[in-house]
Amino acid sequence: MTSIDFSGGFVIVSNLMKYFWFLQLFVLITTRCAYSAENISEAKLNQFAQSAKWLSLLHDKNFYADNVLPHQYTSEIAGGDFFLSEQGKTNSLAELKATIESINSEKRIGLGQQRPFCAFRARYHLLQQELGLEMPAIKCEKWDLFIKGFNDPQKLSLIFSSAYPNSPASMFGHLFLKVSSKLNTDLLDTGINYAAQVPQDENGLAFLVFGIFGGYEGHWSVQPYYEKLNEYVKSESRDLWEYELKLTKEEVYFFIEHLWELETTGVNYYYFFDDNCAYRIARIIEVIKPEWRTQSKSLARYTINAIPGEIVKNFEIGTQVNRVSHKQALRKKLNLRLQMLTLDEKNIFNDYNKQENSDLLLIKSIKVKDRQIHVLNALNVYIDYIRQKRKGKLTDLDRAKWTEVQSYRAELGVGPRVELNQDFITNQPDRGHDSYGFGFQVGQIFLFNTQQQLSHTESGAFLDYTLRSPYHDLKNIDQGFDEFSQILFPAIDGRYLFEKKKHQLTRLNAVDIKSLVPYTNFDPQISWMLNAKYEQSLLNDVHNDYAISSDLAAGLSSNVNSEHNILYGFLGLRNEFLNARLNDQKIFLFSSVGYIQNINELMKISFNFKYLKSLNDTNSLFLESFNQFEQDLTYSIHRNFEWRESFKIDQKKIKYHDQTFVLLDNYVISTGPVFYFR
Amino acid sequence: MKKLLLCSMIVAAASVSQAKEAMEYLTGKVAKADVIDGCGLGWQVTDSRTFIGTTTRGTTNMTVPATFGMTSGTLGCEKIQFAKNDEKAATFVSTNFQTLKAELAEGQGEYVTGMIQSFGCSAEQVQNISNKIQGNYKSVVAPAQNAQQLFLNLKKEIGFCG
Repeated sequence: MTSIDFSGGFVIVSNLMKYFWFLQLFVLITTRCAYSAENISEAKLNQFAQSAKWLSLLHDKNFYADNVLPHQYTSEIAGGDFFLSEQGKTNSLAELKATIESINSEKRIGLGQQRPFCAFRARYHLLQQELGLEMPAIKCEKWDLFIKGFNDPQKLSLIFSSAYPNSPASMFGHLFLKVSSKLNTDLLDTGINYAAQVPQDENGLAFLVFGIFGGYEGHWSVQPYYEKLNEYVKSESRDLWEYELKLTKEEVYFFIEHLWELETTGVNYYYFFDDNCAYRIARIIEVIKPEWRTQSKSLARYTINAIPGEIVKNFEIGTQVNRVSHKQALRKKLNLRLQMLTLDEKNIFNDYNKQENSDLLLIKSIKVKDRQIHVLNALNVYIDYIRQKRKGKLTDLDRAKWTEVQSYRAELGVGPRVELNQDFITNQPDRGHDSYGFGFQVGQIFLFNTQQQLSHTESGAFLDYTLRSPYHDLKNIDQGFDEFSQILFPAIDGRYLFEKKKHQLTRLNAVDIKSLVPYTNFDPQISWMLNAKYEQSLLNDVHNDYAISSDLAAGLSSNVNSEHNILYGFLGLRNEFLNARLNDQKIFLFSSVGYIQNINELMKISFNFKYLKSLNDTNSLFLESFNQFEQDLTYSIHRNFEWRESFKIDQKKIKYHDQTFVLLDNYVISTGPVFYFR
Repeated sequence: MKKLLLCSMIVAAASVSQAKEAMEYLTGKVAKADVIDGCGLGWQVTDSRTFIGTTTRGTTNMTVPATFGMTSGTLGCEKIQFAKNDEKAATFVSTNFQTLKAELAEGQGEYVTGMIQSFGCSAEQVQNISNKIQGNYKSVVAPAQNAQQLFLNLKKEIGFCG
C-alpha cells in the first residue's frame, strides 16, 4: 500500500497559518492602532489631554506653565468648528479623542469646507509627534497652497506700529506679526494681522459700540509684508518696531499650522479694550511656547486694558526676543533728508516745488554733485509723501516734474550713503514708562493780592496727589512714546491743606487728549485738544463749587529748531456746568500758548500761558477773566520713576456789581515724584 | 460700566477729530477715492470713509473679504498681464510702481531689493542689477507710464535669475 506524505503539506499549511495570524495581527496593529483612540491607552490619553502642549493648543485660559494644581480646562475660543467634540470647550480629553477619531473623517468643516485632517494641521502634527499617530495619505491642497506662500518660513517677529497722529482709535498703536521667508528681505515676508471684521457700510457710532462690546468677529488675515509697510510706514507715517522672537524654524512652522486651524475653524469676538489684536497675538505665541505663559509673566498679561505698547513689554529682550529693529515713518524720513540740507539747499527745495514747470535749472545750479544728490533725495521722498497725502492723485504737472527729478537723479549714480544716528528719544514702546501712574507733590501757595472778604484761598503748604490710568501726558518724559502727545483717561487729583487740615478733591478727569503735530508747508496739520472732567470751578475760591467742565480747542504747532521742541497755540472754548446743573452753564473763550522741550533723554521742560474770558455770565458776581502762567520740569530717574517740579502764577479777575476786581493773585510751587506701574 | 464710560470718551474724542468726515459719511456725502496711481496702499484697504478708515486701519484693521489665505497684494491695482511664474514679481511691481520708480532713481532701497528678489534673483545679485537699471533709467523706468510697462521693461532688463 502506498502512503501519502502530507508532512510537507502540513509544514506549508502550518506556516501559512502562522503567517495568517501574523498577517491578521499586523493588520490589526497598523489599522486600529494608527487611527483609533482605542489603541492608545486611556492612561496615555488622559495624560496627554492634561499636557501643556494640548491645553495650549486648545487655548485653555486657565492654563499656566507654573501652575501645579489641577484646574478646570476652559477654551477661550468662542466656537465655530474649532471643537470636534460637543464638550470640546470644557473637556480636553473628549476633544483629544474626537480629534484622533476624526483623522479620516470626510466631514467638511469651517472656512474652505475642509476635512478635519486638512483643517487641524497643528493638532495632527502634535499628535503625530507626541503620540505617534500615523498620518493618512490625504492631500490638503488649500493648506499646501497657503504654506507655499510663506516661502520656507524661518522666523516670526512681533511688530508694533506707533500711534497714528490725530486719530483717537489709533492712539495706542497696533500689534501684528511678520513671518520671514528664506529670502532675507523684509518686503517679501508675510504680514499677519488680527482684526475685527467690520461690514463695509458700517456707520461710525455702530462701529464704536460693537467694537467695544464684542459685536464683531475677530479674524486673522495674511498679506505681503510690503502691503503692511505701505499702510503703516507710508500711508499713515507710523514707525514700525520689530521684535524678532526666539523661536526655532520648526516652531514658526507650527505657528503657521495653528494659525491655519484657528482661522479656518474657530470663531472669536473682538473687544477693542481687552480681547483685541494685542491680546490675541500674545496668546497665539503662548500656544506655540506654553512655557512662556506663567502666572506672573504671561505674555498676554495686562491691567484693565490690553494696550499694544504694554503687551510688547511682556516680551523680554534676550529671553524671548533676539533683536529689535526699526522702520522709520515716511514723514520722519522726509524730515531727516531735509535736515541734511543747508539753508540755501532748503530754499532750492522749496522753490522747485513751487515752480510751475519741471525745469531742473535750480537743482543744477548747485555746484557740488553730492549736494545735488542730497536735494534730489529729499525731493524723492517728498514726492512719495505728497502722493500718500493726496491718496494717489497726481496731476500731469506733478508727474512731469517728478519724472524729471527721478531721471536726473538716476544720472548722478548711487551717491553718498545716509547713516541714521540713533536719536535720544524714540517711540520704541518697551523703553517707555508703564501706563498707570501715582504721584504726589508737596508745595506752597503764596498769595500776594486777594479780595479777602470774597476769596477763601489762603497761603500755606499742601500735598497734591494724583492717581491716573493710561496713557501719557505732555509733562511725561517722551522716551517710548511719540513726542508731544497726551492721552489721559480716568484720573483723580486731590489736595491736602496742612494748615487747614483739610482735604479737597481737585479733579476727576474723564478724558484729556492733546495732539500737537508740527505744521509744515508740505504737511499742514491742525493741532487740537479736548478734555472733560469734574473739577473745582474757576470761582471755587468764592463759592467752593465744582463743575462738569470741558475744553475744546484747535491750533497750530511748530518745531523751533529741532524735532525735540515745539511751540504751540490754541484757541477754543471752555464750558462749565456749575454743580452739574445744566441750567447753570458758563462759557469761556479759551486760549493758550506754550513751548515744550525735550532737553535730553532724561529731562523735559515746558512753559504754558493760558487765558480765559467769560462770554455769558451775567450774575452780580462772576469770573471775568483768568490768566495762568505755568512752568514744569520733569526729570527721569528710572523708566518708571520721574521727579517733577512745577511753578504756577494765577490771576483771577471778577466782576462784582459791574466793577472789576482782582480776586486772586497767587503763585504756587510744588515738587515731587511720580511712579508708574502696570 | 467701565466699558460704557470708555465708550463715551472714545465717542467724544473721535467726534472732535473726525467730525467733518463723520458728518459727510452720515449724510452720504462721502468723497470717492479717486485713484490714479498708488494701488495697494493703506487707504484702499477700506474705502474713503476716513472716520472708519483710520479707526479700522489704525487698531482694528478691517479684514477685506471673509476668506483666508494670502491676499494677492493687488487690491485696487491695475490688472497687469503676466505668466504664471511671474506672479510674485508682477504683483510686487503692480503694487509698488511709484515707489520703485523713486528708489530705482537712487539705485538702492528696500523696495528695489524686494523687487529684484521677487524676480528670483539672489541677495548677492541685487546691487549689480540695481546699478544696471539705474544706469538705464531713461530707457527702462522713465518711459513706463504704468505698472504693466514697468514690469515688462524690468523683466527684459533683469531676465530671470532663478
